Amino acid sequence: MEQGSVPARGERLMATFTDYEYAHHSMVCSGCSCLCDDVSYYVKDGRVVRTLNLCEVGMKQLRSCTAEDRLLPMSPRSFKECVHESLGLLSAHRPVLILGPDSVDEAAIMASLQMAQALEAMWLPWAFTGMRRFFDQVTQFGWATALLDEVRDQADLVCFWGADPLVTHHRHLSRYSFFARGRYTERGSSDRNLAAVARHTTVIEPLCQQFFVVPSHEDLDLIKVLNNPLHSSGPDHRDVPLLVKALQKASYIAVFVDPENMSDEALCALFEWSASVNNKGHTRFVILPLWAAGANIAGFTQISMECVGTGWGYDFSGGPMIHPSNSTWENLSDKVGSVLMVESGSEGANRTQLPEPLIGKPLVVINPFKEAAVNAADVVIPAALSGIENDGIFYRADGLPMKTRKIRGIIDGGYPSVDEILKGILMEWSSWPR
Amino acid sequence: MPHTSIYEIYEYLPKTNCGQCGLTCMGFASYLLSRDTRPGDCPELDGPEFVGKKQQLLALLGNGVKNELTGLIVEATRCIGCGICVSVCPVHNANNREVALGKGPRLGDVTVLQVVDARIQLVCPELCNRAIPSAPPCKACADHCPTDAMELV
Repeated sequence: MEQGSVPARGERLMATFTDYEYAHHSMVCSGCSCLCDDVSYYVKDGRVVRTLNLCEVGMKQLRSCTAEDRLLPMSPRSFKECVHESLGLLSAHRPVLILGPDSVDEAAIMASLQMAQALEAMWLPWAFTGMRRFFDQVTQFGWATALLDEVRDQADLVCFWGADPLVTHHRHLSRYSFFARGRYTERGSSDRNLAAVARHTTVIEPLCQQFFVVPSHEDLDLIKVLNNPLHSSGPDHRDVPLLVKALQKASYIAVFVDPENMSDEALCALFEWSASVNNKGHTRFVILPLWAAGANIAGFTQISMECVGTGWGYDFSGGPMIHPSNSTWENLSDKVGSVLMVESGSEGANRTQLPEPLIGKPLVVINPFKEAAVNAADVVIPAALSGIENDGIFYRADGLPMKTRKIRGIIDGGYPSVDEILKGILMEWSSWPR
Repeated sequence: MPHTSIYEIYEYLPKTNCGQCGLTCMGFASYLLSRDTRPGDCPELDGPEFVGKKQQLLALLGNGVKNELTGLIVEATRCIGCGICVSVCPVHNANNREVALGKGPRLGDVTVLQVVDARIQLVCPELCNRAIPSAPPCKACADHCPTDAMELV
């Protein structure tokens, strides 16, 4: 090849990106809890015309700004009427369940918490049942966790248990957990062992050195045999000895779990195993939740732990829900009078309706999109898309807070943020006749 | 990687060796595999008895366009923008510390591949190791693609 035919640095790429008015670099994507901070947006005529380093999940959220199923913005007058109507409905049907503030920014989560306190409501995320089970184990065994950057720098064995990053967090493997090179993993994936445990064959399988398709009742057996291969009998799988060997050689083990895809017993055994490995002191064993939930589920967890002492919400109507029998949608439905559903991410469009036991309850929805829940709602308040149409703080999957910025130059329709809506309702509540 | 084989493609062809395309059916299959021809170039596949097979063949081959310099075919519709190919590319890792640490390349960085609008694009094939005759043969991007969006021929 002729030397002269090699383009100058980025020359060709530049040539394809001249047709824009504003360029925003190092933006934080709020599509999932990876919160990739290397995204570039190119804006022209009020629309994003090009993106760099944005995955399909982030792209879906970005496209949802102008999606056909977007609710139309309200006039200030009808907004006030809606706030009034919402309060009338919620105060008449108490206790209120404030559901799902896990895809909104920190300010909106705080506002929803203040509202839950004011209305003496229940304050729960969608993944509430899995989160409760996870934090029960945290309470019992303690929680060895780490920043994703530490995992990238040090982990030589990465395992996804019930979680598939290629379905929910597309850039997780390339940014943090497997392919990225770190301080002590300078060859990236060559310095790591990747294993996954799933209910069925998933996209991640071809990348794994060990892959297990395990039904839910065999989770516990697999953990036992991995923890203690000489004294336990587990699933007869050809990859078990290989993973046992890799675990013995590893100096830093990172397990990403989706607790909603694990049994209680397995989750308990995993935490117990982590605690025992860490107590020996030779190997570090960290557990990081990888929720298939809202992008700011880690933010909800942090705020919940700081403000009310649980990682999964609180019941202000009648004390904390400590007893597990109170902690299912079915049991809650007996207690709940009305529901305030708070959504602001594109993944909200997938949560098309309330959990089945709650269907039929008086419903107020704060949501950017038209969907089944909106159709069934008594009051609907259209909201801005958090992380795209308003500034905010989101928490990465490992709990690191990151600032998301509104994409300047796009036509945002003038939607109020969830935070503004909730504060509007709270203000109205302060003068509400009781 | 479950990439398409010549025999798999041959199964969808008429196998009559009619010569209307100037090749035998096996030869035509090899050209299809390297994306140097399209199923529409076989007149017999247009016949009513082959309608289903032609559709299946089109689905098998996808809409990817081969880059002549590197032999890389990117099937954009299969790409999820995970950036694994960007992360494992030896050119990126050798030239950009931030990419090696997991970040995506910025505008103006030395980059062969880039995730643009959530799809991978071959932005500078001239920099790819496969375009340099003296460089060791490399297929890291296609080997690690979890959705088979990349194929090297």
